[in-house]
Amino acid sequence: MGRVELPFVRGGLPRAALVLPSRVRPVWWGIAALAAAVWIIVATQASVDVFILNSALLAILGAVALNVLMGTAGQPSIGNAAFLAVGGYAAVFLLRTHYFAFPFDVIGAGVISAVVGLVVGVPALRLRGLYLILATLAAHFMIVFFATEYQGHVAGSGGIFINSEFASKGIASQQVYWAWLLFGIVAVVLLGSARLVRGRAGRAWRMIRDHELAAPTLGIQPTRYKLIVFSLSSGVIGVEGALFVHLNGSLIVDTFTLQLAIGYLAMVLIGGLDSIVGAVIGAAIVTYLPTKVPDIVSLFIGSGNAATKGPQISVIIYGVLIIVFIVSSPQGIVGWLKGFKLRLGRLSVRRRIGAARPAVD
Amino acid sequence: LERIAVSVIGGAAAGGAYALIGLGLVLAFRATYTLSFMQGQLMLLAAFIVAKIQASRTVPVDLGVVVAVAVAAVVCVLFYIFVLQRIIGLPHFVGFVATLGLASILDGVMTLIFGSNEYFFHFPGMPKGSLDVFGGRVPTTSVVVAVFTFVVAGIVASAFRFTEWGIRVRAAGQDPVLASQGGINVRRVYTTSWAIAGILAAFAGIALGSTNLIDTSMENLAGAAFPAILLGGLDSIEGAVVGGVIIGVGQGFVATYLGGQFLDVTTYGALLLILLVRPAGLFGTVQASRV
Repeated sequence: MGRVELPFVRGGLPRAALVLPSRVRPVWWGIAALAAAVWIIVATQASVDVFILNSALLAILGAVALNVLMGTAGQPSIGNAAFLAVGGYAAVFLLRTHYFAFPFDVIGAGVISAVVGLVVGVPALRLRGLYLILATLAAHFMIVFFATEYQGHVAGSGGIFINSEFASKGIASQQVYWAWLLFGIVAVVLLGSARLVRGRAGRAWRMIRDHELAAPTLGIQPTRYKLIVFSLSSGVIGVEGALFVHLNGSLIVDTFTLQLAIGYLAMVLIGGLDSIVGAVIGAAIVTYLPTKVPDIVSLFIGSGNAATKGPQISVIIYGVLIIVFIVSSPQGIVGWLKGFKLRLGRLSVRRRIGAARPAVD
Repeated sequence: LERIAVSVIGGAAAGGAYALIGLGLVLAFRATYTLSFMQGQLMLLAAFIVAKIQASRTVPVDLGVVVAVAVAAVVCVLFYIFVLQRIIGLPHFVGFVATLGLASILDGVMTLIFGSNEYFFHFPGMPKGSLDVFGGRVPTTSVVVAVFTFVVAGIVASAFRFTEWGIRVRAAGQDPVLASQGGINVRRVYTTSWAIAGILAAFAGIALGSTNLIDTSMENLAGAAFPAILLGGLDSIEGAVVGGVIIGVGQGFVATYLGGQFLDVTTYGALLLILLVRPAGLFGTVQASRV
């Protein structure tokens, strides 16, 4: 989906003047809005809410990466829970070698996940659509198996514990430190992916998504771009996994279920395929849903009931959301907003130039 | 030799269930090109319903089976009508993701209703004890389940091949436009295909439920149906049965000789291998595409 371009805007301003700033503007606005949200929550809410905010910020990393992989490049995957595991276990592995300390083990985990993503990407070169989903499903179970073996070797079925970062600052400010650190990382990832998706690589990925066989005739090498998108997105997801370990201070293989992977798919689909803003919105919705549902449900059934049934009800709700968005608006919430903006744009253009030139998507 | 016998028969009971799930998957896939991820949930749902009805002791268990099968079929048909018919024209993986959504709805609903308890049921008249096969002792129920599932799978597969209904389904799957011009009600054919997919999953769930404890881990068993149908060929009915047996017996050997913790990794390793070496499987159609 391209940007909605209006042929005549504001009395015939030269087009170049409009295009250049708008190349940068949306993502910076988004980051500013996110910064404001982080600031407000950090300043006003209890540390539990800041922890939820941190989980949401982490989820944004994975959702953006998955959205580029699935929405922009058209490579559907349910292997993202497994790549979180790769990142987490790689970080633990690097920490245990004692050669790496906090920020460097996260970077190392990102690199390792990118390499694993490359390995999983090689089969993806031959596979498309459903077959690719099945391959990532297979990868999920194999990676979880190796993670289980490693965990059993190192620690046992109770999971691995490490010292969570910033613990010396006290419980409340620990979460605040984390919030700003994660915000910084999210901002970098958002800027980077916005740039990639709008540029040459993004065009190549969309071409591969829509017409893989025709892409080489335009000088696009599907092999190269597919491997790039696989390693980039799994690298980012791996970084998320490593940060997850440091935030929680613990790592257990039971976290990385298919249900988690489906949650990430839900983020991408609810927000909107091939939209970075969509990924952020989706990540926020899916992360906050389980925490808010008990409050809402307790209005109808007793609060004791609501606390135990909350998680199940939110699972049902995001299942419903996945289906509703697939059926009614495959472009997710962003698709709705775009449709709305398009109609508005049509109205104003018609008014101005008498419906001579309809707005084109 | 005893261990081989135990592996084969234990594996065959599971393989029969895989064959049933796989048949349903292939039928649904041939109808709408949707690979269904919710067969495991349907299995569990059917098994839960039967167990719950038997525990309540008010209605006979046969009726419970009918109810369970009907519920599974209705879920599938509703899914086809309200979701799949509205996403015609979108990439095939979108339908798959929709089944993921329904799978999580079913998961949530089942946990709410049935809790995380373990259930079990047994059919009256089901033989107990164990049989001696080549010196290995295998539970009689496994043998009965294996036979039952293979009979059902055989009936469906041959109906698909030899009856007029089978011809209709195959025609509608190959070319919906031509088939509808030939007087076939394509939508009805697709609806029945999905209903049968649900019914077969329910049968598989009831078959497995009569030999195993029923809890949420049962859903994961359905995952093994994916390597099974890929091995046979994603669009091949006979392939689903053959693939189910091969994967089931293979798992039987892995479980006896290597240990249960290797089941997942070998099963999905096989899936990856099939995808890489021969995505069309043994009997499937090799896909050709043009720009």
